[in-house]
Amino acid sequence: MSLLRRVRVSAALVVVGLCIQLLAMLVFSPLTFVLFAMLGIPAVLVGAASLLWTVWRHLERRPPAARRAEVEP
Amino acid sequence: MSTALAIGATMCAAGLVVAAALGAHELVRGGLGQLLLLAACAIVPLAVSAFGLSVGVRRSSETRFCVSCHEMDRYGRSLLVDNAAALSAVHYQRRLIPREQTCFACHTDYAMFGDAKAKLNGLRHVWVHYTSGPPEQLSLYRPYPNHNCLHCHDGARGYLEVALHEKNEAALRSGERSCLGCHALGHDLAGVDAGNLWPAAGR
Repeated sequence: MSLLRRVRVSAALVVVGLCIQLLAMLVFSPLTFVLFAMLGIPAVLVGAASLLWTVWRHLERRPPAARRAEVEP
Repeated sequence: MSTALAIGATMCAAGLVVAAALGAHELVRGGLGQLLLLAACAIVPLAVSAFGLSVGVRRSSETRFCVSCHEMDRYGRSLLVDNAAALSAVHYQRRLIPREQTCFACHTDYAMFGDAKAKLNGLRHVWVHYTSGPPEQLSLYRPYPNHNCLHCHDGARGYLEVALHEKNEAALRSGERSCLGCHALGHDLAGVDAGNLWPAAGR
C-alpha cells in the first residue's frame, strides 16, 4: 500500500471514530456512551497510531541525501 | 456548556482530519507537512477524544443518566419515598449528597480506581441488558462496603453520638459488621409501589 493510501486509510479511521463520538454526545444514553468508549475511542487510537507509524517509517526510510536536501538551501 | 464545547471540538477535529486527508498528497512531501499531518490527524483527535471522554464520564455520573434505563425507574422514584428509614430517600431529600449525582455518590467506591470500577460495572449492566436481559431481582455485585458510608459519616457528630457505633467501631471498620445490618432499607421499593411519595416531590 502506498504512503498516501496508508495516510488516508488512517485518517478515515480517525474520522469514523470522531463521528461515533459526535453521535454519542448528541444522543447521550447508556448505549451510545458504551459505543463512544468501545468503538469511538479505539478507532481514533488505532487511526492515530497507524498514522504515526506510517509517517515514522517513511521518515526512517528516506535516504540521508533527501533529508539533507530539505535542510540545506 | 462543556458538552457543547466537546461537540464543537469534535466537529472541528473531524473537519481538520478530512481537510488534512484531502491535502495529504501535498503534506506527505515535506517534513513540516508530515508534522502538520500528524498534528491534524493524530494529536488533535486524540486530545479531543480525551476531552470528550472526560465530559462523557461526568455526564454518565448524573442521576438522570442512571435512571434513564427502565430497570432503574423504581430505584429512581425510591428517592422520593416518604420514609425516614429508607437510606436513599433520606440522603436525597435532606440533600446529604449532590442531587445531580445521587446514584453515583453512594454506588462508587471512595478508593483508588473506585470511579473506574463503577464505570466498568455500568458497562456490565449495559452488556447484561442487551444480552441476557436484567435478572428478576436486581442486586449488587458484592456486599455494600462500609467504607462508602464511613467516607462521609466517620467523624460526623450524628454518627459519633450513637453509642452502638462506638461499641462496634472495630467491626464496622473491618467490615465484619455491615452498616446495612441495622440500616437495612436502601431503597423502599414497596413504598414506591404503594405510591407513598414525598408530597413536595411534584413541586
